[in-house]
Amino acid sequence: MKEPKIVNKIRRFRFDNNEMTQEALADLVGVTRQTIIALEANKYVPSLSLAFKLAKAFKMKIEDVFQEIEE
Amino acid sequence: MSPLQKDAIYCLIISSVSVAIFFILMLFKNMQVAFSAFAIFGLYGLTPLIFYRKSKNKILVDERDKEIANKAGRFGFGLFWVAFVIVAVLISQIKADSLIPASLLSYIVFFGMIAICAARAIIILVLYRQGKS
Repeated sequence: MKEPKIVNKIRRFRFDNNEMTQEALADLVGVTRQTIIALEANKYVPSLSLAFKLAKAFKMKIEDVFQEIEE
Repeated sequence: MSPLQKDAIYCLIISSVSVAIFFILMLFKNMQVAFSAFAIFGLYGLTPLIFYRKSKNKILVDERDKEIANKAGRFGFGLFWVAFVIVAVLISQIKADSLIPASLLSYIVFFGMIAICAARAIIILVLYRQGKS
């Protein structure tokens, strides 16, 4: 069985939050800018802890930021 | 460029220089002298001081970097282990007395160390290039 893909809306929410820079978001959640780039490109699925931190940074629920899609 | 990528590039340079000097010394001197080339590989031990120095507000390594390092490390060690077993079996089959000379074992270990680090470094660079982990 093929695993569903996890996508996110980090880029959109970043722009909705006063066009927050990748660097600012990275500092806020405690990762490097490269990780934010990989996340926005949906090339990296974060740990649950990081996913919660990201959702908290945007004052959103985790399911609003991350979605599971069938490929 | 992340510290892990810099570490990988540094590792590839140190490994290449060590192996090149080993073969140069082997050609112009002897195996015993050539073995001293591996001392250069010891410079790899300076990596934490060069690339992982803590700075106040900057995050050097995060969960993705750790994941990439773990994956690359596992691959590097796996490669070494397969190569080590193959070389050991080949030597014992080729030699009439089926024994691996102790002197040869140290070469296998040193080349193995270099193989682990170089393979790990290559995998790190490839994974970063792909953007995956």
